Amino acid sequence: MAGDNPYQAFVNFRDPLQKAISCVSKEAHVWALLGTNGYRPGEDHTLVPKTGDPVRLRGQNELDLVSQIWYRVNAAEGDRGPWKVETLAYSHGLETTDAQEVIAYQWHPGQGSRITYPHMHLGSGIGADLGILEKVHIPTGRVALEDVLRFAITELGVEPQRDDWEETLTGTQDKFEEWRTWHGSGPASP
Amino acid sequence: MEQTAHTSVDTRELSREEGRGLFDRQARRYLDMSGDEFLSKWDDGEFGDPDDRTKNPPGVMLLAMLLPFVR
Repeated sequence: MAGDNPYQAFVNFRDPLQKAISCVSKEAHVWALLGTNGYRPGEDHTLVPKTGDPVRLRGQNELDLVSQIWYRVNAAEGDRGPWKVETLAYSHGLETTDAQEVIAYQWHPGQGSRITYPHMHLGSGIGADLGILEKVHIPTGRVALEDVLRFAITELGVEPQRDDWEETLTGTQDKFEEWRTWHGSGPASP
Repeated sequence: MEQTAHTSVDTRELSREEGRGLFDRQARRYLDMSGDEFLSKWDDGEFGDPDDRTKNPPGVMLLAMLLPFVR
């Protein structure tokens, strides 16, 4: 997302994510940043819903949403400037309410892991013996937060918290896909 | 269904102290250790690859992603 200044670029990045989250939670409209520097250029920041605590999802299964986005505000040229937010890593997961991972979509090429491609984890929160599947990184393309929220609603019985959730998720995802600079396996480093 | 109005965004910027609190809560939630204990182990290289699921539980990578709140 671009902006005329670092703060505006950050706001243009943050607001669609907030709107997407509102499809599954009426409470998770507080996002946490470090100090007042969540948009200082050239530094790494993390954005999380609900001050970093899991977001309880209403529905037939007791699930929490855990989402983290690591980003940086950079100067950019052309249509993507003069300031742009670059995503450096993401993790969008669903857990049981006792913190057992059910499924997590991640990409974290610069965070010390040998796994640099976007991938998915299946966890013990599924409630079945997964054997080796619990240890592996299943390749995916780049996964948007909206993909995970839509999956939670349509496949896992999470109750949407607004009537227009389909249009909302489509709209924010369209914006994300318009501005993203990669998809598929992506770069091996941010 | 009640139509919620989430179009305005309420963003909270955490102080460094609050950021450390966030980090500590998540370390206890996922790994049953304090945030400081995690940082000490992280700095000592004890976790190695944070997303190596043969060695580490899922919470290690999640804590690694939260490091900007404390570093």
